[in-house]
Amino acid sequence: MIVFPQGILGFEEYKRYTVVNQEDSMFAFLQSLDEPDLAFVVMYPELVDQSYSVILTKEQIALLEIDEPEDGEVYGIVTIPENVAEMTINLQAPIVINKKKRLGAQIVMMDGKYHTRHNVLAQMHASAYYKAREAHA
Amino acid sequence: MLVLTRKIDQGIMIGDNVRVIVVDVRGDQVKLGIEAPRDVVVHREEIYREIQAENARAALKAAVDLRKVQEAFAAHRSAQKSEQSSD
Repeated sequence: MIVFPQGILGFEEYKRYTVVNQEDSMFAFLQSLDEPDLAFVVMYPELVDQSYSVILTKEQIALLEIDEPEDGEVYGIVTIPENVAEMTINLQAPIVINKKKRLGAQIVMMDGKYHTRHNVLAQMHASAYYKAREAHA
Repeated sequence: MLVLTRKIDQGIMIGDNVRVIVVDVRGDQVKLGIEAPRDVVVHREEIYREIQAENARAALKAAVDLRKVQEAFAAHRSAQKSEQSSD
C-alpha cells in the first residue's frame, strides 16, 4: 500500500493506492484501495523522454520523506482515448513514490518545460528516431 | 465571498493551521506567502484546475485490458516505423 497524504488532484478524498504491474507491458495501474472503481494507467516518463527528470522542492521532499534520490520512483499518468494513437502522458504533474516509505504524491512542476498532454506515440517515435540517427552518425 | 483588506506583512488565518500573508504588492501583482500543513495542497488556481481536469480525463471509466491497449499501441508504432524506413 502506498499512502498519498494529499491524494491526487481532483480525487483528494482517496489516499491509499497500489501499483499493479502488468506482465510484458510498459503500462501499470495505479489502483485506489479506497475506491475499487478508481484507477489510473501509468508508465515511466523516461520511455517517452529520456532526459525527463523531476526536481522536488524541499516541502515535497519532506512530504515524501525522501532521504536518497534512489528512493524515488516516477510515473506519468496516461490518458487513453478511444483512438490509442492519441494517448497522452501528463509530464507536468508526475506521480512520485518513495519506494522505501511507501509514500506518494502528484507533483506539479512549474518550470514550463512540460504540459499535461504529451502524445506518447509521437514522442516515443521522436526519441527512437533520434537514437537511431545518433547510432548511425 | 468574504473580502478582507490587508496591508503588506499582514495575514489571514484559514481554520487553525493555514496562514496566508501579503508579502509584497507591486502594480497589479500581489506576492503571497502561505503556511499550511503538509497534507494541504497549495497551487495556483489555473494550474490546479488544469491538472484536476486532466486527472479526471485519465481516471479509468471502465476496466481496461492493458494487453489490448499495448497491442494496439505496438501496431501503431510498427506502422510508424515502416513509414520512417520508407522515407
